[in-house]
This record gives sequence, C-alpha cells and structure tokens, in this order.
Amino acid sequence: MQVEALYDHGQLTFNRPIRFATARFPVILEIPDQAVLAEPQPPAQPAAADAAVTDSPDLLAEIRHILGPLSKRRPSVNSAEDKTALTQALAEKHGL
Amino acid sequence: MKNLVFDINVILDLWLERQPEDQLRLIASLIDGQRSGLARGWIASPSLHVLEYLARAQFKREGADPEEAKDRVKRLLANLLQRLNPLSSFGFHQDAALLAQTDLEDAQIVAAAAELQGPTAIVTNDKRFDTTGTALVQFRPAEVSAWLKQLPAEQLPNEQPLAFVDIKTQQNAIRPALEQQIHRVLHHGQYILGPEVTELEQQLATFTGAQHCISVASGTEALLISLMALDIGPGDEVITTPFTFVATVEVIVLLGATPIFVDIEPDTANIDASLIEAKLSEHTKAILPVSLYGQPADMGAINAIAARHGHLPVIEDAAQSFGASYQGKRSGSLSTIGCTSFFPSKPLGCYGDGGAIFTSDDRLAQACREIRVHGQSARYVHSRIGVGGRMDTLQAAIVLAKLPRFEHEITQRQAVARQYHDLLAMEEQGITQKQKQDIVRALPCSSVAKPLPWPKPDRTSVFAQYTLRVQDRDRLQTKLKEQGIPTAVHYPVPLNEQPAYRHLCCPDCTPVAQQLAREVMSLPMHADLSAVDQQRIVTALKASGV
Repeated sequence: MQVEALYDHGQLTFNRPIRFATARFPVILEIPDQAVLAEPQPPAQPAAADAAVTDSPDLLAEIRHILGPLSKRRPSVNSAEDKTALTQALAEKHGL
Repeated sequence: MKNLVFDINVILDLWLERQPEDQLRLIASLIDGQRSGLARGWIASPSLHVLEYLARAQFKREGADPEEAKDRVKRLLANLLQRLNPLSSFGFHQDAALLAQTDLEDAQIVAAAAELQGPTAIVTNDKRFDTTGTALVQFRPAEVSAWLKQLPAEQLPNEQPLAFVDIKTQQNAIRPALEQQIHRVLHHGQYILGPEVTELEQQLATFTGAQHCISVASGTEALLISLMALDIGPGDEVITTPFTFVATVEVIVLLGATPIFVDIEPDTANIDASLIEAKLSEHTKAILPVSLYGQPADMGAINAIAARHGHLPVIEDAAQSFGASYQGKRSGSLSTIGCTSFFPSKPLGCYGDGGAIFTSDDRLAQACREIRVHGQSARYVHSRIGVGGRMDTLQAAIVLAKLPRFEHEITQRQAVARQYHDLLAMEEQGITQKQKQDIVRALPCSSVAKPLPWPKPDRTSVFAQYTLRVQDRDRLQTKLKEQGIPTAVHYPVPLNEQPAYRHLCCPDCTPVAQQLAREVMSLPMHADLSAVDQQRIVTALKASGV
C-alpha cells in the first residue's frame, strides 16, 4: 500500500493511523529532491600515521578547474592588504 | 594525529595563486593532509565568510562577472570543506575573544582551535596570533612539515604517560558530527526517548542483524532487564562465568536467582562450553556467557546445549565484543538475547552510561521495552514490574556520531592487536622491524608476557582489551607505570571468590579462572594507538626484566 507521511527530525509520522502486523519491516520512501542536501560521506580516515608531506597536484588542478578563466598567477600580498580588501568588501556589501 | 588549523591568508594564497608554484603545491599537500594521513585539517567557521568576501572582491576588482565570481567561489568553498573540517566558534568563546589583544576574527580562530584535542598548529603566513594561555603553536606552511615529523618524545623531554584508552583522538575525528548531533538534541529538547534513540536502535539492529534493538541506561541495565523479561527470579539458576565484570552476576543475584559458575577456557578466557552440561539442573533457567576481551564465546556450542535442554534462553553478555563476529554473525545477535554496553571506554562507547539489548523475539523485545520504562505498556498502565532504564537521547546522539567510524575503528583495533602480536614475537626472536614482513604469524611470543592466542578462525575480536598472561604481575605493572605505560587487570579475582559471592560457589571449583586471574594483564588498546607507542610499550615490557 502507499501512504503519505511527514518526516520530521528523524521520525516518520503517517498522515492517517495504521495498525501494523509486525514491529519492523522494510519500506521504500520517495524523498523530494529539494529536501536532500547531499549524500552523506563517511568521515575522512587517517591512512597512515607516518605519512610525509608530498605534492598535491590534484587539489591544485581542481582549484584551477573550478576557477576556469579566473585562474591566473597573482603577486603575493601581506595580511594588511588582505585586511584592507576585506574592509572594502564588507563596506560594499553593507552599503557603507 | 596532529591538527592543522588554516588561516585565511594561506587558503587565499592557494586560490589566488599568490605564491610560486612549489609553495602552492606545498599548501595543497597540507590541506590534503587528512586524506594522506598526515594531519587532520580544520578551517575555523568565522574564516569561511571572510574567505568568500575576499575571493569574490578580488575577482570583481579584476572585472569578473559578479555572479560568475560568486558561483566559482562557492565551489571553491565546497571543495575546501571536502578536505578540511569546519571548526566551530561557539557562543561561549565570544566574550573572551572580544577581550583578546588581536582582532576578533583571529581571537575566534584561536579560541576554536584551542578546543581541539592534542597537538594543534595554526598554519599562517602572518605570525600574529595571540595564543597566550593555550597549547597552540603557529607555523608558516614551509615550517609545518618539520613539526609534523616530530615524534611525541622529541616534543616532550620526558615521555608523557600513555592513555590506556584514548577517546580524545577519536573526538577530533568525529567532532563536526558530534556537535551536530548534540545541538540537534538541544534544539528539539526531547531528552528522553527522543528521535535519536529510535534512530540509534534502528541502526544498531541493522548492524547486528537482530530484529530488535532496545537501548537502555547501561550494560548492567541491559542484563537486568533481559533477565526480568525472561521472568528469572528466586529459585532459578543461571549458568555463567566467574571471570567477568561483576555486573554479569550482580543482576542474577539481585533478582533472587543463583549464579552457577562454570570454569573458562584457558585460551579465550570465555566460558568453557564443554563444562556447561554438567552444571545444568531442573532449576536452570538461562545460560549467560560473556564474550570477554572482545571475542565471542563459543556461542554455537552453547546454543546447541541450550536447545538440547528444553530450549533454555541464552543471553550473550557482549559488553566487550560489540562489533565482533562469530561464524559470520555479529556479536549481540548470536542467541536469544544479546546485551552490550556503551561505557565510554568500550569499542563503541558514549559519553556517559548506555547500553542495548538485541533480540529477534518479538515478545521478549516488547517485554524489554516495557520493563525499561517502569513496566509501562501504555501511559500510566504498569503491566509488569520495571525499572527506570532508558538510554537518554544525548547519549544516543553521541553513539550515532560515532557509528560511521566504527567499522574503521574495528579494523584499526585488529591491526593494533596484530602489531602487538608481531612486536612481541620480534622481541622474543630478536627480529628487527625491517624483517617484520617475513615473520611467521605463529612465532612464539615473549616469555615475559605471553598474549592470549589470536582469536579462533570462526570468529573475530574487537579487542576491547589486549591481554597478556604474565608472571609477577604486580612488579611488571609497577615497572611499566614508572615509564608512563598504564596497564589494567581484567579481572584480578574470579567472582566466586569475591566476598559478596563466594558463598555461591566453592572457591576452587574454577581452577582456570583462578589461574588466569593471577596472570592476566591488559595493555593500552584503542583504535588510534600509534606504531611508535606500541613499540615503546613492547620495548618497556622486554626491558622490565620481570
């Protein structure tokens, strides 16, 4: 049978009362796409305690791929310049 | 594993390519460090919006379309959060952060980083953080590698005492999930039998393969409620082992029944199934084996005996063995009822007391559910005598946060146990670490300390304890303690020799238990025990000269 239900913080409440013959059975749920943020990922696990720092070209390549045309070499800046940029960005956001 | 908390300027250097290529690769490798087992990486939550503003502002200044810049920066943040754990800045941090000499954002990062367990460094290109009063250190990216390679002993002139069970490292590994679970409970406020309790019971039932899981207030409560559900009371006898934590027997006596002690196997320290039938009588109402040290008892043999004698119920005390298996089935689901404990030091523990009952018998499950809530079958309808034995929602939430890492921890525990076995064999044979790969697993172990044999082929152990048989135990424990190595004895006196129970059994009728009680000693054991620390422990054992 099909029945409507409300999912709320881990609990499923049926929209009409039903008496079940057994206390535990499998069900198939249709969950609206917009209600799902992402498939849960298992936590990252340590591979080895004594690993050494190595190049990570994959992450760099991923970042450059995400940036696309915005990816380019830029001059280094100090933290004061970053702070100034932040102040300007926040001022713009809040219309100051 | 050490912690790296990344400052904004390091991330921006990477995203905006503001450093030479080799520096960018170095930063990327540090951020990827958690995947390679190098370090656990974090980004303080107050840094995230700053990163977003700064990156977007940069692209906007360069003439990028604002919407495109916004989209790409969001994807960068998502990419970052796949590698770094978000580090919470709590409300209670803010007053102190406001009083700090540095700016608020930096003070928030320091306060959040100081909550982490273990060695923690802030990775920054701008050495300005005020870490006064904390154990935090700060490094430029190029300096981090040397710090990560430092062994604990090099950092500390006197070797720090080891933990017998380390649940702080585990806490770092699951911190975001822990915080989410705890705050979820604080938000909905259903502290008793809340949705996390139901969710945990469903997940644990699936994990074990049992039809029902009933969470309860402790492992002791699990045993008590199980016996009550089986209507065990005065005049009844329950077959069990004398070599266990007192709770196993305490609950039998509390109900007015009599524990009948059966001796144990010398190689597993579990009840010797071949001796059970001789102890059965017309009063026997149940068999209660304990799966000690993490290895299931011989449940097949015990179940067969129970079946031959009027289908006696069998209750497996799986307080130490949850996660282990016997002939392909999970401990806890191997008999009529399985009971486990979520005491913090257990392989799967909460942050207080907790436990669970497993059964595939609908009637027993219903009885257990009613008994744990004062025998209540409906609101204020008390159909049977019960107890206040519920597991509270917060503790269920803690276990839920730990469950996704549990399989990994079981594997790690087994690897740690195997490493102990190999190291003890190497110490005995004078074999070096380089030759370890050639070691035959069955090499005899040290004469100083002889481990219990590896688990039998038809079962696995979760190694709740890694236990040795030693001579002159007190002296050995003292010597190890002097070197910062804690040990424990599970258990020093068989229960049939304890003052409260000795009248229930002749003191000398379980000679194997008597012998093991004099010899057993457990070494530090947890999923995050490092190879370096294990070597230190085994070297100290060998050097003890006991």
